[in-house]
Order: sequence, then structure tokens, then C-alpha cells
Amino acid sequence: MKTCQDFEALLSLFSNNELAAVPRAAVAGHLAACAACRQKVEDYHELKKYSSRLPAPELPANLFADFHPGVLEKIARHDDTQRQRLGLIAILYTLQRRWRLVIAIATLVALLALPRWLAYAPAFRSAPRSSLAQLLEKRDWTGLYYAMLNSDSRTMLFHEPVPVHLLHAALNELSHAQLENLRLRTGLQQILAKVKTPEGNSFRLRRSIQILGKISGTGFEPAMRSARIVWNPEITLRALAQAEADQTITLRELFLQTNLEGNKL
Amino acid sequence: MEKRNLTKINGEVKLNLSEPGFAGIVERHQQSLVRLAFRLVGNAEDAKDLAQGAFARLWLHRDRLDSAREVFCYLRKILVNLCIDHLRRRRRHEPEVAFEEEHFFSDLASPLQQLETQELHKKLLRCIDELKPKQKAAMILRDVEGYSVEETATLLDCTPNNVLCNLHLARENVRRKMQQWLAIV
Repeated sequence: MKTCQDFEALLSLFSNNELAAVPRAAVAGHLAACAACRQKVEDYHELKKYSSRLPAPELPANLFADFHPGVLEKIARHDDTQRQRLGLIAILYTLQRRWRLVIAIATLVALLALPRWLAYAPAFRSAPRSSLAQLLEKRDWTGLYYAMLNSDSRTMLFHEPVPVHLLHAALNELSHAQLENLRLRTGLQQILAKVKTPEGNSFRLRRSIQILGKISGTGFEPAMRSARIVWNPEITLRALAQAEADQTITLRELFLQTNLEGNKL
Repeated sequence: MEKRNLTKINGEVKLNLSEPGFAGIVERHQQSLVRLAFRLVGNAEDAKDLAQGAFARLWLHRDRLDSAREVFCYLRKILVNLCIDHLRRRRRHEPEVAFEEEHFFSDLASPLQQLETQELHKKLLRCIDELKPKQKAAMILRDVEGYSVEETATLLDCTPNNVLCNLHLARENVRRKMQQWLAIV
């Protein structure tokens, strides 16, 4: 015995004469015995009646004034795109046909660049890396920023124990300096403005900015907003003030501690 | 209302798709095409833009078409597809776009008729507008514009069974939302 549920999907089609003979007869048989389904079919009838009587939309009178030029413009735009595509294909085809020339140019560029690279690369590789303590001693905020951007050095800095008094003094100074020093503040903001931090950006970059945001306090507000981080420098500074001055602490320990007190990591 | 039966278009008329011939086709079809697009997207400027896009495609693919019937079908098929794409984009990017209902109610005969039917029609339009693009297109083409199931399938580029499935889902959805209104009527 078939139930209403079995006929559910056929009712709207039945009411609009869209069913073949066999299912139509089956639905008619069911409707003779089921008032609820008959009501649904009536509703579909009403719906059909009102749908077919919906008034035709009145279009604004001036809508067709520039219709034909608009079509021609669309055709021209398509032609331009087509031409650009063909131009690119032609360039690639030429390059592919003259692959010897392409290889020769690439080799020449590599040869010219190689001596310069050889001269600078060792200097880059052997550049002494500053420790967190050194950066804080020198109040080298720019150095700290770039050190934080690199994941390797960031991990090192994050786990490096530094004296509590040094960290407290440095963070305090940075927090005040960026409020009073317009140059420092705009400098920090300019650096951050160049670093895009939308959702799709790399986790590593966002993380660096979050960490920097924690270190510098309100100076990094724009970046912190986009990283959805709220940091209250007072909590961090209070936590540091409570610790013994000659004790050492890592940035990681500090953030974990202050997070427990209400900072969001 | 203009008779929109795809099979009744004179298929024997040889097509003139030179530039003046094309201008004539634009002139002849622009009103009905923009109206159809308006039904689907609910916005006059978007409807005009989509209809112009359909004519541009007709011009670019004119070599493939032979008869007036093909042009008629091709234009509507392209337009419906462009409208569905537009609706999908709109659902993704601007889910709360206002439907220009006022364009649908300016030609009702008497104030009494307006009072009686305007609210019901507004509700119906709103319910149809909330459907998924393909269901909305199927319901508008079949129930509002009066195309047959086969013609709707041709315009939507799918099978008649697919159209029936979309129609059922669309009508069921609208009926549920309109239930209390239908009970009053």
C-alpha cells in the first residue's frame, strides 16, 4: 500500500498535467481517498493560477535608448580580449620557435648575475644573528621586526631566556615610545600596511604580526585587528613587574602566563 | 502578452545576419529579452546588461545559426544561462540584493484590484526570488512565461526529467512559504 509520502513528489506535476498516463492514474486513485493530498493539489492549482497571472514587468522608458551601442561595445570588448589572447599565444609561439635565443638570453642574464650573487651570498649567510637580549639592549625594533618575520629566528627568539628586568624595561619603553614618537608609530604602521594580512595569507606571516603586536602593544593595532587579536600591554607589564627582576623568562613563557590572566593568544 | 512558443517561430525564414540584419534582430528581440531577464534577475540594469551580452554572443557565433527559429532559441538559451550564472554570483557575493518589485505592479487596472492582488503577487515574487537559480529559472520559464516542459529543458540545456525535478522542488518550496496566503484566498 502506497502512502502520501510516495505521491508527494508527483502532486505538483499532477496538478499541472505534466505526468504520463500511468502515474497520473495512480495519483488520481490516491487523491480519491486522501483529503490532505487533494488540498495540496488545490494549493498547487492556486499557485499555478497566480504565477501565470503575474503582471509583466514595466521597464523604464529610457532603458532601450542606448541598447544597440551597448551591444556593439560588448562585442568590441570581446574582440579586444580575443586579440590580447591571440597576441599572447603568438608571443609564446615565437618564443617556442626561437628557444635557442631564449636559452641564450637566460644564460647571459645568469652569467651576469652570478658574480654579484657570489659576492653577496656568503656575507648574507654569515651575517651574525642577534640574540633577543642584544636586540632589546640596543632597542633595535626594526631588527626585532625582521627577526620575527623569519620562522627560524623567531623560534629561537621565542625560546631564548632573557632577564625579566630587561624585557620589562624594553616593552615599557616600546609601548610608550610608539605613543609619543610619531615617527616610530608611523614607521611601524607603514611596515604593517605593506604586509597584507587577509584570511588567505600565510599562517606564518600572521603569526609574526601577532607576536609583534603583543610586543609593541597598541602601535600594531591595525595588524592586530586584522589578526583578530586583542592584547592588553598592561597585563603583560604587570606580570613582568610581579616577577623577580634577576629571574629569566622566555617570550613563550611570558605569553603563556599572561594568556592565563586574560590575554588572548 | 507576447506568444512565446518556440515551435511556432517561422523556421523557414532565411537568416540575415549582416550588420543591418543584426540591428533588426536586436530591435525585434530586445524588449522580450530584457523582460525575460528582468523576471529572472529582478533588476532592470542587470537585465539590460545580460540581454546585451546575449546579443553580443549571438553576433560572435552567427556562423553557427541558419534560421530565425535558431536565433530565437539561441538568444533565450544564452540569456537564461547568463541569468543563472548572474544569480549564482549574486547569491555568493550579495545575498541581500533588493528585488525591484515596484516594476511589476504599475499596470494593474483598478485600485481595488491592486489592493487584492498586489500583496499576494509581492509575496509570490519574493518566494520565487529566494529559490535556487536553476529552480527559479525552471519555475519562471514554465509557470510564469508559459513555456512547455520540453522548451524549458531546451532553454535550460537539460533533460525534461531534470526540469520536472526542479519544478517540483521549486513549487513545493513556494507552496510551503505561501501556504497561509493560499488558505486565505
